[in-house]
Amino acid sequence: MRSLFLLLIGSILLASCASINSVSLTPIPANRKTQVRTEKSKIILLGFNFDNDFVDEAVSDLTRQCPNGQVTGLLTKDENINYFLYFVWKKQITATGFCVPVAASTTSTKTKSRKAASNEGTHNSISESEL
Amino acid sequence: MLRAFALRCAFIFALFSTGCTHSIHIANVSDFAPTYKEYSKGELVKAKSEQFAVMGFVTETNYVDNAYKKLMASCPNGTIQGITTQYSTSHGFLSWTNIIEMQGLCIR
Repeated sequence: MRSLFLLLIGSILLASCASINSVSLTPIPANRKTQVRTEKSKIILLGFNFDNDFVDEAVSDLTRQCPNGQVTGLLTKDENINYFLYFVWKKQITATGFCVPVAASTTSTKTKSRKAASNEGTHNSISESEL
Repeated sequence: MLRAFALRCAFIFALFSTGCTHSIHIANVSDFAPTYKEYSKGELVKAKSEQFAVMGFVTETNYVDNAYKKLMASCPNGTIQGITTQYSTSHGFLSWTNIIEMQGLCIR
């Protein structure tokens, strides 16, 4: 009888209700061979939360999974999982996407265009200061 | 008297059991990278997924992943760009339906 009561209490305390806060999706590539995924969460008690640094961990985790490529087709879910009477809840970020290798030619073109852009920027800043 | 009461109850039940309000929470548009092709050059692909919730008692949000998978399946060998993601809710009596709709341009 006692174990049944404990089981009932445990079930009530551990039962959760999930809800979505936001969803976003970036362009999905044709090359979907390498999937990357990260899930980061934080338990919050009675709403006392002083930072949202767990989100940054998701970004660094994705970067680690795809060091030499481009992460795209990224589905990002921000959800709340609420426990007993909303006293405790879990904020969870789930990001799923694909790691696409960046071709060397594309990289060199990008580097060139970045250099050109930075030169333009310098030129513009000089012009502005002259004005 | 009893019949009038039953009619009133039926009217109220009919009123509240229909999904009469709809709320959109998020509309997100991705960019048209990497091809930036014209809209007429691609094929419009759509995916939709739903979750029925009674008083919010749902334990997972896998319907979002299902919509994502459906969208990818509708354009197996192409790039999907300019993706619009909509998250909305249709309300009923003490229950509601969460809806995710995704649509994008499939470039093969």
